[in-house]
Amino acid sequence: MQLAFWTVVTAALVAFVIARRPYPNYDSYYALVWGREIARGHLPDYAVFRTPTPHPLFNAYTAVLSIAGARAVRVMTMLSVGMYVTLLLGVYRMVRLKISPVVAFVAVLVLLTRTDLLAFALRSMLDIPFLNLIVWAVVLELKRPRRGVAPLVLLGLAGLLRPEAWILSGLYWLWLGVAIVRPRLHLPGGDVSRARLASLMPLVALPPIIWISLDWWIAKDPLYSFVSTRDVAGALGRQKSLLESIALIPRFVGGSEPVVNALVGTLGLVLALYLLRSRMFMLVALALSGLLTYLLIAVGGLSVIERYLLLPSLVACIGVAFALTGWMQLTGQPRRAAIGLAVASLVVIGVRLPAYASTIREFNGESRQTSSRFAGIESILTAAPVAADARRCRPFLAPTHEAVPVIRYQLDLAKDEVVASTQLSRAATHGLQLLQTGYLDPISLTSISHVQRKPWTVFPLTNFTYRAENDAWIVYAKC
Amino acid sequence: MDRLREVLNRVALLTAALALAACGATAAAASATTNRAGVSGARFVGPRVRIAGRPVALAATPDRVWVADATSGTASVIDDSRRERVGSVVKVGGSPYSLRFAFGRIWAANFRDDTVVAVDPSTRKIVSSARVPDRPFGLADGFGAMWVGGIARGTVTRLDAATGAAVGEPTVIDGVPHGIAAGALYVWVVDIRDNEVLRIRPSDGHLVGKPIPVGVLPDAIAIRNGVVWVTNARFSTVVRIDEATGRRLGRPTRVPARPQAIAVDETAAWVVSLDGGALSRLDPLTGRVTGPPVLIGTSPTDVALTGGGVWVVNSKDDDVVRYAPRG
Repeated sequence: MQLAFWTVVTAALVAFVIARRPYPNYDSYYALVWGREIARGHLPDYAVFRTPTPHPLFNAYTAVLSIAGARAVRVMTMLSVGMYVTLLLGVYRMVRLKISPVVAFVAVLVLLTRTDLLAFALRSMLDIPFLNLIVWAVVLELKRPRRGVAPLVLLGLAGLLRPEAWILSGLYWLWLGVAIVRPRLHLPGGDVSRARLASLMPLVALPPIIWISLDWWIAKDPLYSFVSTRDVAGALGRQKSLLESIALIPRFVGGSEPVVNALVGTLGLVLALYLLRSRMFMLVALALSGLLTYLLIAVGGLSVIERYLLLPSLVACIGVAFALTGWMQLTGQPRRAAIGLAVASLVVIGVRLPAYASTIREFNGESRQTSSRFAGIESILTAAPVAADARRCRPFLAPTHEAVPVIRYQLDLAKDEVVASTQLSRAATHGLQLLQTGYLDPISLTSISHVQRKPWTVFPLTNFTYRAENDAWIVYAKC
Repeated sequence: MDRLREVLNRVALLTAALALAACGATAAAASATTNRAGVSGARFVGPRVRIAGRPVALAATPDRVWVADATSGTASVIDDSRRERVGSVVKVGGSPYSLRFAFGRIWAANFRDDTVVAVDPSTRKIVSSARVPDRPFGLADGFGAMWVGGIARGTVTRLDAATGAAVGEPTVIDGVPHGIAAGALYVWVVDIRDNEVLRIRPSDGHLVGKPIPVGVLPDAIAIRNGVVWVTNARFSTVVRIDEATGRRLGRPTRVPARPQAIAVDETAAWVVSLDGGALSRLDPLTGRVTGPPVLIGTSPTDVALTGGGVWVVNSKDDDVVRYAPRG
């Protein structure tokens, strides 16, 4: 039964990926560009317009992927989807170990309604491997408490994807050392000696040291990742005050369905905590550490986006599952209370069914649109007149920064050969100009935001001639 | 007795005056309303004809109004006097962003299909279809031909009025043609990229004279009685140009935000503002605004004049309305 379920989930996802052209997001495409530079023995060039945050392990991963050449994009998407399935599997194992198989199964179902997570997987975003590493670290810890090395290795790898894991590593290391300070607690898994604790210290310290050293070596600035991320967050208007960030927590924790996941999830977690107490320790610790890092990110002036609350939102989905099925493992008065919560949760879910349907429709529409836009960019770059011009015409002008890594990766072009029109202070006089056909929509053309943005990012440039077009893109050139 | 009659008369007069004042106050309140775009004016309260999808363009025949829906690629027909849809919709092509009634036919420029089709309004059948591989948008009739502006390659193509087929090589302008209109001497083209108006000599299709600067983001154009009217989306103004000399007439007239279309007859020039959601009336002789704008709907994109009134299509309300001006 279990095998059948996982087979169906995997098959459905693989079919979806095959049906739609892959469309990694901006950061992932840049990781592919940097990975290829690394594979060729060069240092990745981070000094690009609207630079995404470099993530050491992700760049190493894409360096390996670049062996696949032009197919690397599809391989990356397939692997990302595979990691999404292992993430679900990890959550199942984690919840089954601490709560029950039924709650675990329902938690997976709730996660499957999270179109935001699915989108991360389909866009090959590093959040999926990041979550995977953390969830499996928890699974290993739950299977053999105070294991030490294996969870720390996984958390360390996660710390090379996102610095939030540094805090988790530190907390886990402190947790291992609790028995030394408080021997009377009789924690599961026995004591960890001072010597062993000291020997584990490098696993905690190494990820930040590696990250900072790489920044120093590659960008000549040990804090490059932090500073550039903060600068881009400011440029994109993603910085928020602490109060604003706190106000956004329920929406971000809820993911694609804030009402059910945040409201029912929180109630479910409160009930689980009340009934299961210490068994919920690890999950609550995960959620709280996620909240803590999110608030630190806000205070640090970095991007306040939902992706930085993924850990608490994952735990909230488990809370929803407990709210629905927790009563099955209870007796007496608690069981009656839990049944009441389950009924109320079902009512909320029932009321929100149209919202679920619309989210799924929205996800499908956006996925189709983005996928066809990416397919369009690939096909127009290989269209005969464009391919010929692409060999001799420079620079290649992308409408915004978003298309830059795609063009660079697809045509294997260097940094200076592809320029975002939005980064120019005046219209280019020569080159190859890529525009979205939607910009030429006669009604959109009169939008005042066009001139506010910069007219040369919207209109075909003066003296440039038409080369080719498809449904999504149109190309002009003056060589 | 006379005294009593006089008192009664005064009471009656006072009552009537109070009633009139009350009516006036109500009318004033209605006209002093403000829409979501922040435009103050008289809210349109008449019936609305619903057109599902995304209605964007209009064309008026003597007794009917045709409405193009960009989503379904169809045109619906509305009876001018009854303000009701009549008959079934006509499939015209992909994204028909503009319609025009000329030479006894309804012409539709299909932006997505790169075609311009002509429909016989009586049979509602497509009678000709020409390929204009340039994202056709602007349509004008004059000098025995239809003139089509193409946005993607910056061309103006001449179509034979009888056969609907392209005639000769298109005129290439280094720009982005938006509105297009035929006057007595030239075909006038608005270049939205370079913010100017160009003139094409109809006999040979060559550009003549210097481009005329008209502000920023000029879009719609109309010509009547020797005056060229051009709307300006960026500055929300209407500019007038002398057709014979190419000189600007007077100062630009300010209208609500993002004027998108204009229609002119002997009595007025009517301008719809997309962001302002308003219909403005301008004096045909002075170009000045006459009276407050009519808050006509959400995102109006086109205007057409019939014997019954001024028809406006509201692209976000999915409807068309007929405003009947007084005087």
